[in-house]
Amino acid sequence: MSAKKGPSIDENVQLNLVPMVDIMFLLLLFFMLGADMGHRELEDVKLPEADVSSVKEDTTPDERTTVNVYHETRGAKCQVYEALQKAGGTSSQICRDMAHWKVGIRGIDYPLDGVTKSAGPNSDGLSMKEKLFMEAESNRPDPNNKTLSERRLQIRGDEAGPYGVVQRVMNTCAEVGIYKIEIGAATKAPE
Amino acid sequence: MAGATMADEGDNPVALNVTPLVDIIFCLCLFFLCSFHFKQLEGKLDAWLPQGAGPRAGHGEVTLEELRVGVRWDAERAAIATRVNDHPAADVRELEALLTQRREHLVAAGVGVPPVTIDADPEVPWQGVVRVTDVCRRARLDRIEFAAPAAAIPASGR
Repeated sequence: MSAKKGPSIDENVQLNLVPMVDIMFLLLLFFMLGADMGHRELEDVKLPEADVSSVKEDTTPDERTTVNVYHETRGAKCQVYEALQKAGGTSSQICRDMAHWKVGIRGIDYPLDGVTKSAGPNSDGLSMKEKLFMEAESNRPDPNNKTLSERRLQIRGDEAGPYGVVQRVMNTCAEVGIYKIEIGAATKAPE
Repeated sequence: MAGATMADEGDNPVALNVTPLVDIIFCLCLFFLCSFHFKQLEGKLDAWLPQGAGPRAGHGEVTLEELRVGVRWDAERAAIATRVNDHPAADVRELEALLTQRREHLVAAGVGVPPVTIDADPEVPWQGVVRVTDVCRRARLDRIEFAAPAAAIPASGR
């Protein structure tokens, strides 16, 4: 008797990877283009919304100075600010404790009074006024005239901050001759 | 993955081994997936600080040709109160209407549109000041200045 042979099956199963690689490439492209790798000197600030803010970039980051005004308690709790965050920024009560508000320029915190030197591990030993004076010096049309500078300054202020903090930055700018101000604002998402 | 390429290699002596490529793309995808957050679309509002205008920019009398928006903090209502020159505005819409009306009046009188000066209290939330700035832009007042205390004005400007 001859043994019965089953039908021979050629199990040459190949996984076609091409569609998967295509999709992976597309995903990679999406994430790479959508990722926020922008150098914004770099504190996380919740900007106030504005309807008619211009998104056109007419200056490069090298041509302007960015000043971030943000809330930082170094681990301590600020109940007012936390309550505001929970309320989605709609509460009318804001944190007015000046010690909780920081002014950051190129990653360094400067005291609000403008004349006290910065301190800390990343400090450059300058006051806010000295730092802004150096920034102003980089674009003075008339080197002999120390009262005007063409340097642009962008203020990225937390929407929940008091205007007094931003006003101190503005006062220091006026003192060193920077008068061209850009106010950072979030543009509303289209409905 | 590797099995498929082995079979390919058997059929085709010049088959491309895509396994390392897929591995690396997986890793990259994972990295971007984990670190991903959408870009916040940021805009800017151009404004000016007083330069040669001197203390008048912060503390002078209001003239007829001037547009000054006062922003005060009303602690009782926990809300901001605005006024255009001497006219109080109940809300943002009225503020915009007042500014538009004032602008048209100045244009009709042939005076031209002066810069609008925002004079805000330090207690006002920054969101409120930006909102007022935004309303000025909506009222087609593009030259926006911020009033500064006299101490902040450069010496040559006095």
